[in-house]
Amino acid sequence: MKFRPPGTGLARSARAETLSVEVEIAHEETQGDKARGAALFPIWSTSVFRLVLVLGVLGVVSIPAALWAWERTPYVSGVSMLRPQPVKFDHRHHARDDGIACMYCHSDAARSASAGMPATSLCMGCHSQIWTNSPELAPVRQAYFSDAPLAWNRVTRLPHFVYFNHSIHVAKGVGCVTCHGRVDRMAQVYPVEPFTMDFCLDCHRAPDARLRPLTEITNMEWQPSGSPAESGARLRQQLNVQPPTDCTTCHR
Amino acid sequence: MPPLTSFGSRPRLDPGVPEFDAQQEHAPSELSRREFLYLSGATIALSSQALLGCTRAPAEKIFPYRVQPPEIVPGRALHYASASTLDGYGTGIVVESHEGRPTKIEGNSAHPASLGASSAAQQALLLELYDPRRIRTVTRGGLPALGDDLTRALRAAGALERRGRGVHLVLGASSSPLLARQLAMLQSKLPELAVHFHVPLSRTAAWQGSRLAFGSTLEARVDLRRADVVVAIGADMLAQGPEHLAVARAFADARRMRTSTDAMNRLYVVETSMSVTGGMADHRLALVPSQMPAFAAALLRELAVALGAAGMPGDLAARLAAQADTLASHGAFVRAVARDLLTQRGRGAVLAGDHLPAAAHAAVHAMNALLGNHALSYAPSPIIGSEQESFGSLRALREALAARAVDSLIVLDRDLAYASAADLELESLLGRAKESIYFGLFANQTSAACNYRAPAAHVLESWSDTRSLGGTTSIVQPMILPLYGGQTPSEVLAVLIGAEQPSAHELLRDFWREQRPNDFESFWETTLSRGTVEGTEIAPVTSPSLSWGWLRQLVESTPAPGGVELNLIADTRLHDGLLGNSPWLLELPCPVTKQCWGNAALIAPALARRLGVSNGQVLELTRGGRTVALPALIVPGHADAALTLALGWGQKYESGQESFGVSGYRLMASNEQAVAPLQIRVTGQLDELALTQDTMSLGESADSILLSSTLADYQKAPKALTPKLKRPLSMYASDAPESERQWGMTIDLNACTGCSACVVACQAENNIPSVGKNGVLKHREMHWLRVDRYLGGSEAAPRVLVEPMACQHCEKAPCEYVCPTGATTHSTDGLNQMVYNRCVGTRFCSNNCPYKVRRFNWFDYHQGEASPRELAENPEVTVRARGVMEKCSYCVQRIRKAEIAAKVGHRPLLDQDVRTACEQACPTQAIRFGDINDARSEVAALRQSERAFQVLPELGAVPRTRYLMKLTNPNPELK
Repeated sequence: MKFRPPGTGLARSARAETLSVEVEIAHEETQGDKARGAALFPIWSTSVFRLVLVLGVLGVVSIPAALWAWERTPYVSGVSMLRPQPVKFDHRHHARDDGIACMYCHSDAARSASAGMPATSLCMGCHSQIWTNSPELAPVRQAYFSDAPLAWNRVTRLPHFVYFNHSIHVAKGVGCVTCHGRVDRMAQVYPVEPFTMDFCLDCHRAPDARLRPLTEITNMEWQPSGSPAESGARLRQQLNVQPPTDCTTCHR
Repeated sequence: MPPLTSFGSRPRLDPGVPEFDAQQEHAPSELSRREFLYLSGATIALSSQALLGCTRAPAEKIFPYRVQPPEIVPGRALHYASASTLDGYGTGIVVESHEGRPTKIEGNSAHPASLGASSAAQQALLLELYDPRRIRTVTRGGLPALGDDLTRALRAAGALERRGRGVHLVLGASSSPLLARQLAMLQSKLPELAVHFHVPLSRTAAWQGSRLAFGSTLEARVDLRRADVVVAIGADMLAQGPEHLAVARAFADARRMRTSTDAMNRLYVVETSMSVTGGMADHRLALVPSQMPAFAAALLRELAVALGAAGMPGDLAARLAAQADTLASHGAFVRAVARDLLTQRGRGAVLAGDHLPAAAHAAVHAMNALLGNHALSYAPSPIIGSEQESFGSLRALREALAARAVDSLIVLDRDLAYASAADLELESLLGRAKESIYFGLFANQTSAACNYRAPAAHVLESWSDTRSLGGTTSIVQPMILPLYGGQTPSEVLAVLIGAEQPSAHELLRDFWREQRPNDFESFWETTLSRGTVEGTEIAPVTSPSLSWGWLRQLVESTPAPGGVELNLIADTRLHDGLLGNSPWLLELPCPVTKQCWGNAALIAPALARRLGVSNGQVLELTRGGRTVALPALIVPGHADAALTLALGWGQKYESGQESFGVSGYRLMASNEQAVAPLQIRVTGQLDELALTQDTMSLGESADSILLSSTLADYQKAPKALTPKLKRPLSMYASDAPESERQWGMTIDLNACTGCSACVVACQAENNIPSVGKNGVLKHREMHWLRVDRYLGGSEAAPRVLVEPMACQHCEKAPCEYVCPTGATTHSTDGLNQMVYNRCVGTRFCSNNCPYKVRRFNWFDYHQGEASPRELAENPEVTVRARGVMEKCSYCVQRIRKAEIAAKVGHRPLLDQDVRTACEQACPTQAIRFGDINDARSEVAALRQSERAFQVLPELGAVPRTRYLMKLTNPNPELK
């Protein structure tokens, strides 16, 4: 039997395990014959091998689990991640301090799939009167007068195989805050929900807790008076909310 | 006689014949085993990169408007009424536009030539707009040139002192009132200007026929609702012609058979090759082209003898005898048709195909006049110049070019070098013009021969106007600014007239302001939104007086001596070849032969046996010293002594891009009377035919695939013919929750002509790619909706049966049970859903689908931003990636859109709110879609019809799509 020097690495540990057993037997058989050389693997390699076995078994579970978790980290889902924007637009100031209604700028939310982004002319409607020389607004003025669109970086994003429609959600009593969070408290808008399929289906399966009267759609602070379950159930009746859960509701 | 099954098969290539490699756009070539292993290794290595796919999505930009136009709501489509023009005749369209980007074309229900339906060619206009091959810049002699130089060249041609001498203008047939005015102005300014209308398949003979019969240029219009007996002599009126959508609708309305007691018309078709109309015939007679006038003469003789009329020559029967007797062998057919027409006197219609000689048209007019057929009316033609005897002839241009007398040649988007009789030799002669200017969409043979080449505006980029056969005028409005700065014909003519920087919009508005000075602005707005100008219909001529001077001409048009006759026809998809050759049309299977990406020499089985050829064997055709070679395709029901070649194929582009098929214009003669006979040589070579259907005969399975019967049998026992639809036993539980609304479709095979407009409409709506010729040869076509064609009856008198086939949305769908990833499931409202993002492409579902309607994306067929064609894609439908299965979704995007609109608007969803793309395009309303649980819906009523049946009911899949049995109405005399 020809032996190789020990410690050739973890990759060989499975083979090393068997061999080291053989080596021990051989030692018993050839007591005293030390000149034949040292054992192929050190004793600790057995522990390493066992560890690898355990990790391998755990890996079957842990790798998918890690991927699952990875998908849900803010890094991937974008939750709470800030993206650079061409204009330092502050919703706190516009929505909260000035009390400008959400739908003043995102006017298509009630009538189209897309909520709409305000045209540059809408910004200039006010800012041709106030803060006309503000350096913060320079990109807006430049875009307006050079007839080039402002290039915003999308914050709230759905995969391209998902067809979301704002108008039906607004018509059925789902408020802005439910998906977009407290935009009125954001200096710069960031996503608050991961928009996984779970997120959508949770609500489509049990919408009650997320329903509100149609008058309170854009109200960021509205809370049901009394039990949310009761108010939700009543609203569901009243607004005839029957959220479909067919695949083709969103995937077409 | 061999069974019918043997004809449809594809040719098998000898191993020695190299597979030619056209249109290999996406597919890698055949892999060797070694290459396959290399690639597999690479795939495994790269799949470790798959984890990188779990990173976050790429950043996206949002570009809001600078000033948002008030009518635009992002995410909501707008619809504009406009019109498309073919051979000068307008048909109303409605264009869907997403944020200024046209994405879909539908018919305009307010337009009499459309009635809401659209043709495949109209659908394909969209892809033509975004064609990457379009001319983008002005060039002179192949080098970039300035637009100003071009304008100067045009001005020089229009210079007053030249009086138009040596200036030749070539344009297509037009009915535009604006263009008519401009041409009149131009001719008064430049009296010596020569205007040539280039129409390869013109109606000149039909107009001449009306001049012979009535003394003035009249168009015959037919209302088939008022006809119980229809005789089509070489006329394919259900699929071609200026009003074919409306004609097909009327025809179907007269055959709809809501109940078994309804009346149904009877159609006789006399033609050379099988056409769409021929496929619908109750009786069909195959004659070679030169026998057509003889048939008209024979029928006329029978009718005239029976009826007689004032002014009719007394010796008419005797004068027609010689010619009519050449058809003595078909005497029974002629007599039966005549008797049927006489019994239903006043409720018949005899129609002649455009290519018939003028005297045959006159004879047909005489027959209708003798019978007093109410279905026909006659009105002046809306086409400019239709009264000219030489309309559509390029002979004068050829002579001027040959004499080097052309100083300026201005061509407005007509590829005359390609689409003209080969003996005119225009391609070589065009270079003799001193200055030549080509405005066009594509760089082709004609533009290559011209000095200047400039982009023309596409119809979806143009302001213009057009008139339908009946005179209804439409304003053509642009959907988008010209992508490449193209000019409209009116702008080019305005420069010639002397305008500075004319705009088609202003020209059009100025013209119509003159017509409606009092209420112009309101007139303009209503006209644009309706799509038609009110009160522009041409009043029919009341009982035009018939003359008989043409009889001599009819008698003289004797059959050609022996040999095989060449029958050049308009292609059912590409028409004359000037439609832009979009992949949608190239890949649309011919309704009759199921061939795509090329044409073939269509011959009868008898001629094939005589020549000893089978499908795909290359024939060399020689006529008048010119030769073309193309594969043979055997078509049962074809006239024995003729060979049919569809025009429109084989157009060459300047870019050197390969053309598909063979140009029949190579064999066309400018004077068909004096043409040399056709010689056929069998080369022994084989060529591949891209056929999408191999089977021709239903064989034993007719009862479970396609039910058909005769009217008499049906009326005798209406319920006996369709098997009782029982819900079969199933091992699968049906405990799925079901919503109140259940979607379903019915297809009336009695109305379906197989025209295939639905196929292209589906392709346009659902972002379905074209796979190219090689893809089709490998059975990889992607059409969600196909039209199956079967033949019954005998070889000489086949009966055509067509059956549109898309996903049947089975209630017990076999595909759903085998999908390992749950990518195809059933919705609560009865849809078989396909979830692309779950599909891993095992294709088990396709394997298990009995209807074979599932399609697999073998490649990434969509080119994304690399091609302007991306702009044609429907934003409401996912663009599928490689490795994903797809199929008909019942246009679920339209269903969901309508449902949401109804809910947001707090109103109930109505039956007409949801229309699938195929249903909307269908000229005959054969396809109906709706909620089968809604008792008021049309589809629910149709499912109760005695004619309703399922395809393959014995499998127990319970398909949601039901078909209505096909009926024919044969003449008992001819049985």
